[in-house]
Amino acid sequence: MGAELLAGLTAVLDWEVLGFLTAGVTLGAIFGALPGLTATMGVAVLTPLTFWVSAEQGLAMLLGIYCGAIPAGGIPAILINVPGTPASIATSWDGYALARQGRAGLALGINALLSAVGQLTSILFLALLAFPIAGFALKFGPAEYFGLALFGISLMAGISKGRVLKGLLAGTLGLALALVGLDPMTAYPRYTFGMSEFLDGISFVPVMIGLFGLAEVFVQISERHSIRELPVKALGRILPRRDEWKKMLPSMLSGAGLGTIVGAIPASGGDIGSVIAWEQARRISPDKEEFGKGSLRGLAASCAACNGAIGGAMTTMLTLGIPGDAVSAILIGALLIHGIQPGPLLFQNNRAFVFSIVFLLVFASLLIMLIGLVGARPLAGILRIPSPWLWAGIVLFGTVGAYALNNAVVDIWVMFAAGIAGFFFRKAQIPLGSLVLGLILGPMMEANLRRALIIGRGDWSGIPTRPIVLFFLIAAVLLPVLPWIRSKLFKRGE
Amino acid sequence: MLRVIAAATVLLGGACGPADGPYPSREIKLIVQASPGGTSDTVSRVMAGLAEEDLGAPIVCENKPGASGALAFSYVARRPADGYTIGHAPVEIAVVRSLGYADIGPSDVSLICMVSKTAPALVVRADSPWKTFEEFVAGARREPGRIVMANSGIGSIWHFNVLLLEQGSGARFTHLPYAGSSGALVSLIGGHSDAAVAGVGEVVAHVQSGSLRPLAVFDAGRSGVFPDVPTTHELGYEIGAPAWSGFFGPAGLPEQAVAKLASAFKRAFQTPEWEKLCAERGMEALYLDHEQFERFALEQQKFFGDAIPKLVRLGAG
Amino acid sequence: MHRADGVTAAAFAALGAYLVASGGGFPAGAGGLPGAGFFPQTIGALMVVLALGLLFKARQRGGTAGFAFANATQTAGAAGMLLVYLALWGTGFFPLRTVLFLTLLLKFLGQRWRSAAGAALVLTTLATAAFQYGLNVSLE
Repeated sequence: MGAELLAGLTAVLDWEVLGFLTAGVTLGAIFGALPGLTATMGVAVLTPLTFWVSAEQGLAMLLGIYCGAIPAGGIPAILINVPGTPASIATSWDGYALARQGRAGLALGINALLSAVGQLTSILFLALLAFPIAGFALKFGPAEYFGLALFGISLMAGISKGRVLKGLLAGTLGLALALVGLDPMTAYPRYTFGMSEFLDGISFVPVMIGLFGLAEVFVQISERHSIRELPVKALGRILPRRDEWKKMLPSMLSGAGLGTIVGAIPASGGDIGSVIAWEQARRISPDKEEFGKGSLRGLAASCAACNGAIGGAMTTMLTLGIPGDAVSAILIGALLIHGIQPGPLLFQNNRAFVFSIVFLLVFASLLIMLIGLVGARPLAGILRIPSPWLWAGIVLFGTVGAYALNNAVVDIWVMFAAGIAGFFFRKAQIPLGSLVLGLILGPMMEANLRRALIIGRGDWSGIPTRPIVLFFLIAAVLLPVLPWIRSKLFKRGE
Repeated sequence: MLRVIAAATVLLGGACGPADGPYPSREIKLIVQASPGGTSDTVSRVMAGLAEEDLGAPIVCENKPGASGALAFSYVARRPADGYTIGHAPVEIAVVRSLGYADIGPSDVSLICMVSKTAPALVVRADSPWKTFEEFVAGARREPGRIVMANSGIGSIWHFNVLLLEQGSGARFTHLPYAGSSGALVSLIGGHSDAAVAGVGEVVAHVQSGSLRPLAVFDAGRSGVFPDVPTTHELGYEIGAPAWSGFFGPAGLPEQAVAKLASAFKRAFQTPEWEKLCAERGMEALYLDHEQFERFALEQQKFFGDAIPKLVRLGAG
Repeated sequence: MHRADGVTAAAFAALGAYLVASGGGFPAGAGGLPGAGFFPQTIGALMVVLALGLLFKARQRGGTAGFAFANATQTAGAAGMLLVYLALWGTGFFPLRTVLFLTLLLKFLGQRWRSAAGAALVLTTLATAAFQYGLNVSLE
């Protein structure tokens, strides 16, 4: 064991491998920070390049992109309210509010630090509990996925920032949009209007670019002379103070833990994990009203969860050979090219390589911390760019990115429609977070409920009796009403 | 002045004028019908990388996933037949018309060559009571619908193989569709379903790690990856619809271009790199030239055209 | 009646009703299983109920607040220019078209011609370099 640990470390402590890792993190940061580009795209595009280098070097580069892109997605989320990747949607809620208070530097600092801490925590989980976590993830059958999706959907009210009814309506719209495409169980085309482009459903990334990128541009144009010319100019200090660290600690740990678990479950990643972590942090916090208005706790939870999900996804990938999210699916393909098959056998035959991956993830988190902190001040230069230039940039990169995702023209129209709709939603004060949640969780909920019923031969009662499902159902029903119960109890006590 | 305009045209519009000189004189685009990272993408990228040198022009892959590949097939078919846009042709090119996803098939394009074939395998969990294919089929006949069979999606090639098995053996399963083989195999390994049919290459790792057991390979000859696993043909069931990989271009591709591309891919096919990739991915390296591939693909189109309406009725009932 | 909320509620109610109606036309499930129309109808019904709730609240809230559209000309103009640009997607000369679009957009948004053209050129170069040459996306 010790020798393998050392061998794993030595394989990584090679200047070429570390060079590839640094290049990967930097490239990843670019992919993450530009609204049209995502971590998945970055890893996918660079996978072929790794065919020509050693397994460690190639993996260092790909892991670097993966780890670097996620926190970088938080940068535009904080500075201009446009999430760079789906995982950073929750980061924009508190991050942008902080930036508008003139604390953009602190938000960027927390994003860099807490992403790194979240990732390190999840790696610790991975090192200590790889097999229990993976085993738990495998227990997730259709019924459990349905429970998880239902639980996620129950968060809709909580992330609606006080506009519960409209938030829930937006959530149902997200669920409705998720219906487009072939029915997952019978392959019957629903709401495709005869277009084969919609058979696989509406792509999520163009919708996100439209709702959060394009719509933000339209909103800023419409408000430019009335409310504000530019949101933020000041950067402020970057590093959090000791008391702020103390304040963030609980939500950081719960965020990293939840991110790890959600990331470990196949087909769910940082996008869902960060929203769940944010909402859980809100519920356990004494200052709930602060959330969405620049809460450090909220920002800490979402940042820690985003990168925590990476450790979780890697756990499932390494222990079971099963992808935990879209990026790790591509990583498995890249490893196969090098003749490495992730799975239980890897732990028996090539433990040194497993340790190499762990060390690569550790170094990557140190690098994202370093690059994030050093880069905060130059990045804030974005704020001095005249806003019309920023708008033009978001429109251009958003459009090209939406197209480049699948090289599909239909995606730029989806983006445009989502942008116009997002603009009107903002004007009607309809919160968009729950729409995204509905869009992500809708297919998970529908397909898995119907799978569970197929397995149970149409018996609905078999679903809630499974322990994990029961836990989710209780959490889904109980947690939204918990604050209300608590307030009743407190009143009685007084 | 003219030269400036010409230069500006090239600069602004990219190279879109007609090609001069012998084919190929510029970059060739290879449209892949699936997302990056999967088997189709790997096959295309590795083949492109190996064929480039012989061809003397770069081959750049572009992914256009969606509708079982129908979007990519239709896109390539609509491009000019100059040999500078070609596509990866998987088995789905012979299937999508029958599924109603797009009105396109092997007869509407110029087929270049085929390079590999992947047979499906029937797998159960290693701790499952079924040790052999016969026991499994007998069990499925005895209690129709009791065995839950995870599949990679209604209308996917592996799902057809399950339906062919039902049709050929009289067994009846409960079908549990997932979006892709990965989801189906996770569900099987996690104990949420009883069996699955997926590509040999997709199950081999899980078989080696001891979590799954292959009961049969749906093919005439034994698989190189599972030399000890019987084939359906040996067991007396002539069923099996493999997945395959080839290349195609728009209809009316000049003969010279087809010949040039086919010979470059043949060169690539003969390299040890290709052999290695096939071994790793559980694919059978199988080269069919232009005419053989055309014959094969048209047969496949007819097979699926006849079988799918029947199978879909069977699946719905 | 709060007008903005009233309009929102009406739009959602209509969409919900459409989902319920269209879901009825999808193949029903066999053997006690929900069919392809089950989720559309459930979601549609939920949407109608929530929309009616919002309508009720909008009536209670009173007032006549509608949508507040400041600067509507510029917003609509920018959206319209983007629409034209997207409609011409894939017609060739991507860099030229993009520089032109961005210059006009920036000019429309109040920039001087020179700075508009400069920014358009920089952004187009960046996007082309990143996507066309970095990622091999064919932009035409």
